[in-house]
Amino acid sequence: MTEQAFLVLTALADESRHGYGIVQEVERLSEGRVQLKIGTLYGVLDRLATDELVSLDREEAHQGRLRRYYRLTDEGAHALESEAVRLTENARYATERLRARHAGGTA
Amino acid sequence: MNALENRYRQVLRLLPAGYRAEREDEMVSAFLDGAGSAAADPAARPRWPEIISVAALALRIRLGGPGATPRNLAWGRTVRLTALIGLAFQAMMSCVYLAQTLGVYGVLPLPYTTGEMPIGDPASAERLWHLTRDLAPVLWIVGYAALVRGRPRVAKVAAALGLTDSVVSWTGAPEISALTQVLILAVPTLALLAGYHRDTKAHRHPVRLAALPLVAGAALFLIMMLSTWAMATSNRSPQWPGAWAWIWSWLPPSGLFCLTLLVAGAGYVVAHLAAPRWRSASVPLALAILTVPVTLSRLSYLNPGVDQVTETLNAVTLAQSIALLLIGMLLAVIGAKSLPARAM
Repeated sequence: MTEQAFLVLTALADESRHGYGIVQEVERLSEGRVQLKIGTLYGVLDRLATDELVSLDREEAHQGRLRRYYRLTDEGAHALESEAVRLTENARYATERLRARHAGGTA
Repeated sequence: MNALENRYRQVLRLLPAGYRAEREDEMVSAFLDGAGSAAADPAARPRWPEIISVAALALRIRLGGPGATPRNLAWGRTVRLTALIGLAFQAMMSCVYLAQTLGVYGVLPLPYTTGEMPIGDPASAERLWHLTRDLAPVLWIVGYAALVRGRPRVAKVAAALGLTDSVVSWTGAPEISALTQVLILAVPTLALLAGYHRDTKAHRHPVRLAALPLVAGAALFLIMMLSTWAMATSNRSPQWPGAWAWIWSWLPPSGLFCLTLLVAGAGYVVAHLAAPRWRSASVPLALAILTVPVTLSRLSYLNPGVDQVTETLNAVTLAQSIALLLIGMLLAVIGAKSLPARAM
């Protein structure tokens, strides 16, 4: 799973969001590091929708313009959870190795 | 509709019509949300990163990304096949170039003299420069093998470096024939960069497919070596060059690529007529795309000389170009007719 897909799924984990809402939430989650362009966002959404990880939740009119809200599916929640566990495990291994390295260096 | 919305809608015209019909309104809404107060400014324009992201999305959809129509999927396969065939040919030729390099540096004994080649003194910076340039063909072998073994990113880097090397060579001797050689390399490289996007699944083919151009390259080197040896021994004959004038035009890389495409194209047409289950849109279209740079390259070999040998060379080259043009057009028509219908 790419970082962009991971962040989009994370942005949809708590509530459904529309296109620009996802862009803002991804930027906030990544502390400004990942700024999705609209073309990139819809490429990611298409891929996630094809894999049935996200789906259309509802449509709303906002200031006369169409907003489509997307939500995380059960498969999407499962995929996000699996990826989060994998990343957490990787981070734990890295932290343990670094702790051992620092302990060896200071001994 | 304000000016910025109108401009965003113009940018979105890059997308296929079917996709645009489905997504245009919500994408415009997202763009205008992002523009904030600037949306009311009549001079505001879409930013270049936004336009590039839409262009990249349009390319991915047209070449088989998520949401692509069967026709787009067929075009995606066509572009990837163009890259694969182009790289396979370059990998085969690279085996020949590398074997010749080994001969020039005295590592591989050749049955003919290579003459004085400018390779610099041993252990000099000039020798290192020449050696680096002479070993550059290995990039195409790496690129092809990586592509076949399911590593398109490695293939892209290798092919881009190989193309850069050929552009450097061309700037050193800016002739039309060298430029068309660059074009022969550029077409499959661009197809590789565009066709193997992140929405395509990389296929890991058997090792024997990766080795096929290398075996063909070794066989071709033996044929080229024997041909060169035969020419070297017969050039003192009073009938020189005789039949060789009819063969020379097939020996340069573009002449060999021409022969490959003519045989492959004719073989496909026969298979298309004889066995409907082998029909495909991608194979004839990929071959047709590759005939374009190769035809241009063959035409660049036409020479204004008026002696009999030059006239023979020109006649063969012209016949090659016409044959390529005809087979290319035939393959393009067959491929276009085999494409799935446009989405309504």
